[in-house]
Amino acid sequence: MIARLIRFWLRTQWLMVIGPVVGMTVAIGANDSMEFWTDPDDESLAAVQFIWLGVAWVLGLVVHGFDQIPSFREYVLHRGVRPRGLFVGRFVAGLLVTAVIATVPILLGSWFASFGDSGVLVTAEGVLHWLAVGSSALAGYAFGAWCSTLRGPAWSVALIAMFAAGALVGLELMLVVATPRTPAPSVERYVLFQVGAALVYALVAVRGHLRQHDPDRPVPWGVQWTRAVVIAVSFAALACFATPPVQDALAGVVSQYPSIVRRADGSYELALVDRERGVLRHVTPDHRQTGDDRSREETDDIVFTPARFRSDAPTEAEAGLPPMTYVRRELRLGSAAHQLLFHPFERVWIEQPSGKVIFARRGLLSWNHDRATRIDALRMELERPDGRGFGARTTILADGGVLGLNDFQSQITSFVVGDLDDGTLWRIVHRGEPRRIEPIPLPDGDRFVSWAWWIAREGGPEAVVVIGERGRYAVDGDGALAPTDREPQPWRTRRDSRIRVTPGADPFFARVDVLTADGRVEFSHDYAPRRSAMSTVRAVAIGWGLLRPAALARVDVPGIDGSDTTRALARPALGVVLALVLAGLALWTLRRRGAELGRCVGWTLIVAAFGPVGFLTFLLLESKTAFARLPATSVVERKTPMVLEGIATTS
Amino acid sequence: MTAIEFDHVSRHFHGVPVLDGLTFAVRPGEAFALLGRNGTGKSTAIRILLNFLEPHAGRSRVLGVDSAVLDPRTRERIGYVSEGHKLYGDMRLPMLLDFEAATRSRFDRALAASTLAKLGLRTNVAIRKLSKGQQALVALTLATAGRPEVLVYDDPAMGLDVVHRHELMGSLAEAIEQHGVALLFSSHILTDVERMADRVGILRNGRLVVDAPIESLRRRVQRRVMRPKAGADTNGALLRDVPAILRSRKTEAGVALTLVDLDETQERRLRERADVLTDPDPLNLEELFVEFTAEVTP
Repeated sequence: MIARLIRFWLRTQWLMVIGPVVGMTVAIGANDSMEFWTDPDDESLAAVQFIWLGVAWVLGLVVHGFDQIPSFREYVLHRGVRPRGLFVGRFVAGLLVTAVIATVPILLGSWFASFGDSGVLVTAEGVLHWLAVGSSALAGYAFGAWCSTLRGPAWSVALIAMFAAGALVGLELMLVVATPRTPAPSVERYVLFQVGAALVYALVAVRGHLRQHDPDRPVPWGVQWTRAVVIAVSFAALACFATPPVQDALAGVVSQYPSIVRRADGSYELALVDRERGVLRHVTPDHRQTGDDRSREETDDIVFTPARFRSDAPTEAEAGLPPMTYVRRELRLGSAAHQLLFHPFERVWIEQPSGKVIFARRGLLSWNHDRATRIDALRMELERPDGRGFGARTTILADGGVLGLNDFQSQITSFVVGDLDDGTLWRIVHRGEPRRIEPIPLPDGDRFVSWAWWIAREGGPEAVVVIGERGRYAVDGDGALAPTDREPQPWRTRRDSRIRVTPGADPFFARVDVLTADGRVEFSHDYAPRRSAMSTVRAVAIGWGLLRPAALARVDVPGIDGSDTTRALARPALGVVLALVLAGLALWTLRRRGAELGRCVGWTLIVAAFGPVGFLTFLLLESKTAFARLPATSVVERKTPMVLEGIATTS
Repeated sequence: MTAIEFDHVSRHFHGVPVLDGLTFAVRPGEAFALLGRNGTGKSTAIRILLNFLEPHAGRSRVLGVDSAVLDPRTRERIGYVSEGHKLYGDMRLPMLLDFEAATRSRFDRALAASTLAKLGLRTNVAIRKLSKGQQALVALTLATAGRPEVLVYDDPAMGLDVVHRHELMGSLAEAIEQHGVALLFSSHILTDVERMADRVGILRNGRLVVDAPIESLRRRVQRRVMRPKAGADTNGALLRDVPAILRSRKTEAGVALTLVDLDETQERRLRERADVLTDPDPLNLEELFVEFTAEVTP
């Protein structure tokens, strides 16, 4: 009967396919979308991922949500098929429709696009990547179906759905974001996640399908625990995503700590900088203002202003990590082309595993007044003259307006590539003839190790510095190298004062020493929260961190900044204690309400494992009135005459 | 064997009792009308019977199966129309019949199609574009096309005009007579109830205060007017001495009494207190309903 039901729903829903397929086919096949094809790893694909996710989510919610309308549910439920069968029939048909909507436009659009000016840019690999992105529709549809089975007051359902959606989007982001540890996110892992998520949501949704929301009766534990786990995991994931930036932002208030200033007489003191009035407000070592303002004339220099106590963080190369890619921290998908230069009409990337440099250009008409010049689409491959391919850790030394790009002509100029696998440096010349790859030998046989921007204290990048094993070299667009003593660092030291920052236990603590040229300590201050406001901020930062399950307190979230801060503020032991207290509270509450043993144990374990977010899940899912005892029968003051002669009442 | 059985079923919502020890049964071939004012628990009882809602106490059975474990096979033997006659509004009639056929193995598509054709309904429009009455007829037709052994209707005549109601009642009567179907329905249209029901149950404050054939009810309940003697107590003592009084209210002619199962002893006590006691006045169903469901006058 389920197969019959699937066939019925497919027959009913096939019309739903036409609109989205036509629309998306046109969008994908249109010239404006061509830039997708030139670079299969373009961040635009990640945006498309969320379009599929959103569209499929709405589809799943609408298709399954309609049956869940309370007054309608009974009509659907009263059938010769179990609710599980009804769900499977709907779900399978809906998922097939979603899969068609997510794949057919990609294939048709690719085919149409291949006939256009830039058809040369449509590659099989690009189409496959698009199909991989389309797989996010599966998770989206299942998530929508799951949302339709949520029960409870409207505010509670909305809250759960919103948080769970946030967690899903966060997990999706994690899979496509490039980080130092994952410069090339895996397509296979991405597709696997979509299928797995669809399966999990479907398995949980099937248990809650067509179930009545009845706040006066407990939800069977067999249904409840699956919901609880999915929701708690979602909340925990969201807490893990939200905590680092929040803690980082809160830790940022240390910039309100006083600065170290050097007075005209050469002594040092602490002061708050009042930029509006152009004065420095003197503060005591415990950060109390004395009311004694200093003018600029009385001050020689601001030696140190706290921002973040992280001045000596190792560079990625020094930490042994792969270098950040050009499109660092951009949304991307795929491993084939994680090194990328791009312009509105041109793309260059290094293809893996072949290690070839690919240059691709969209076809376009270039207008000069009323005369148009046709520029043909082009796809070109360049190989290293030594016949070896570039390694997976190859990096492009470039940035907009500095090296490799010509914004004025909207062209990619020659650029320099460093291969960390064999320590070589190369210049890519892809304009004019012959197009070639030239080696750039480092002086004295030095090997390429890394590169970085030399950055001024307040300004942007000023130069590219190639870091070798034995020296540093400034490089220009032609690939010419010149030794330099410039060191990449976030800001310059001032005059002859040297600052030594010794970070404390967490970002709110640090010891700052002002050293003389010979290393003698001239002035020293222990930064710490000395005012109640700052202590409160620190407490909030730590408290916020306790939202994460204790087991995940010190786990880095890929793609989320501020992990060093969040690690420093993590209090796993406190988290464990809090989780145990909350688990005890949940257990006590359920026992008091008269819940069965399995439910009591189950919730205790969930809250103990997930901590505050587990307890929040408990509060949202377990109705206060579910275990309320039957109220006493209303007392009838006078025995009312009754006429009862039915078969049940007379027998 | 009973087709439907409620055994001390109780249910409350947010601590407010809605059903309080509901107990009654319906035999095969019998039509039972569950009556009561709005919010007295009629729909709740039906939803508990079909396992759409859990009771807090007691149990119900349908076709011998406990409602709590109602399986799809048993559901197929029950025709059900919910309040408001819910259907897939976007579907057209042929598609709706396909859906029913795909989800109910006993559903007779040909029978349903021919019945709907007789009703002259348009088949090329979405269900939501049919009138409320037409939608009700479709829902009722679909419910009976599964050749059910039990029919459960929650206010089936709601939204139907007189002609449609007449047709509905005719088809229900046919189902009961020819196929021995047990019918449980709730309704506010008492003329339909008088026509259809073998027995009525009246709910007041969640309790079943009447479970009897209509004729029996008419026989056992009477209304009389009593003109009390000067100084006679027509309140506490009278009500205590004559427990047959269901309701009493003062009128210009005296005290109007609604009496249930008045025996000779109680009648003598009434006469002792009255200058005049009128003869019994028979009540129709509507009057009976009002007497049993209106607030009791002390």
